[in-house]
Amino acid sequence: MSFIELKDVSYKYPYTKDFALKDVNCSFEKGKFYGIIGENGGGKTTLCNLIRGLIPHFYLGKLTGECKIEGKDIRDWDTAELSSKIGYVFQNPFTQISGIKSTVFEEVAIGLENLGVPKDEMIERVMKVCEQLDIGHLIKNNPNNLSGGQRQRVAFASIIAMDTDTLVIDEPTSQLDPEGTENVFKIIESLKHSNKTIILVEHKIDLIAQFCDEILVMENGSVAFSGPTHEVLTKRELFEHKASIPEVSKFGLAMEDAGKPLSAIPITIEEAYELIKERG
Amino acid sequence: MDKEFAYSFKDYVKYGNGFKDLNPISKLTISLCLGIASCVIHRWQFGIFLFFLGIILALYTRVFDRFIRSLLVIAIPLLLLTSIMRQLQYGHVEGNTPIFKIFGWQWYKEPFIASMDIAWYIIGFSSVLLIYFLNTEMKDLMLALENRGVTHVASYIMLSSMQSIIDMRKSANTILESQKARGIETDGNVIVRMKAFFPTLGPILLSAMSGTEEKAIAMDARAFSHDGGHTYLRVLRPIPVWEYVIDALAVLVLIGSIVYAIMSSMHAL
Repeated sequence: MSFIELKDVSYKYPYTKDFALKDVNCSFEKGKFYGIIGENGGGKTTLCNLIRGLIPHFYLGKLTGECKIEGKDIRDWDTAELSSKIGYVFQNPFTQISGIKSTVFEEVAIGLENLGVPKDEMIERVMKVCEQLDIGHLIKNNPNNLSGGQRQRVAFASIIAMDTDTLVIDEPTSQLDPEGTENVFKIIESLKHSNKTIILVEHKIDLIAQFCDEILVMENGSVAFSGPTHEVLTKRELFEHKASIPEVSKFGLAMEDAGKPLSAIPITIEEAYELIKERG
Repeated sequence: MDKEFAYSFKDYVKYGNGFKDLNPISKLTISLCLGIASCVIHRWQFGIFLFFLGIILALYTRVFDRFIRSLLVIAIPLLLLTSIMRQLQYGHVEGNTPIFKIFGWQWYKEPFIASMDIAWYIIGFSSVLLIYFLNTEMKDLMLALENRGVTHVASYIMLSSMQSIIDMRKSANTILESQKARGIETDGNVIVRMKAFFPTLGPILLSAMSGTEEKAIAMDARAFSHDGGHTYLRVLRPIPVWEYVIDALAVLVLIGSIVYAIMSSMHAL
């Protein structure tokens, strides 16, 4: 059974004319890594807000259709209960800092304090996460004085420390440099290995191709394409929709068009290397 | 990673200074009792006593520079203004005792002492409160209040409101800097500064309001509304008996000052 299931879901924010989500049908299974891609304004963040229960509990508006988390309708979930099951990291690093803690260490621990985790366990968990996210050198700093990228990592750390079964992550790398981005993806991948469900919104398609199990492509509030990463990213229609696809996939499609196809369309550099090597 | 720092949270909150390490509520009780006593007694001698007590505590807690700089801003204009005002108001009253002349202007003892009483009780009150705020982290005060039953929601509202003021000041500076970069005059006399500052208020307030919504979501993501019990990373040390004794003494000083004030007024009648 799917952990999260959406059937014919449509949603309109309050005081707006257009629906931000239109007849969305999709499901998310436990332990899988999902990537959500698509143009800006396509409904990616709205979908995340719905899965996290902010819609309809925080953002009112008009919600139709069925959205179930663990078989229970989203309308029946208590948001406090949901916060201990689904972690949410969102785009803006400047509003994700609580503003009430004077060190990064305390900031990362804030969710654990709210969950009532015993102090000794809290310290160990925060230390582990800070090392994992490479923010150990920042633990004494005031979170209000950090750069955007550093704040994003601290916000991310505080959610990871809560150890929720599912993580919804909305563009966590928008403020990070390439090295920081790769580190974040490695952490996300390691979370996947610990059997967590990850739902990631991200524009960096090459990294999505490398790490995700399945992909949803959002377009004008609807799911345009969905399925296993390789299957979706090698669809010619996706290229024709001007959706972002990996450079190596573009190369594979171009080879096909030139009448010199590879034995498969690659989605990662490693795959492309193997396929070219195979051709000799 | 500084593991020593991380493991320091296992211990109670400690600053390594006898006064700073007092429970924030004990410190507040002492400061308020002495401050209010200063208002009730209304004598320059008690005000000067509190001022010197403030200096001793400022030296002991290593905040002397900030203490004296902040206090002088209040004290010097206050002493000058009240003295001049009192001399102007009551200097001409018959029977006053002349004490000295300044550029031919005769000053009298009675209005001078009355002005010193007013100025010094305010300085005394300010001294103890200033010492309190220079030696107490707001987060410690809120933690102490939470330990006494204040909800973590109320505590959060208080602390984040204070942070919002700092954030708004920062964004005001950023906007003013960018205005400057676009060639708009932001330096100069008061009118020029006001002209540059007032148009920034709209964007500052709007961005603060939109930030509040996202901050609420961020806090929700950190299980802020979770009601299954709350634990604390920072824990204040249990209040020792001697600290209660100091609090009781401060309350006694306040009661004594009230008695003194009542008796003085009865005597005057």
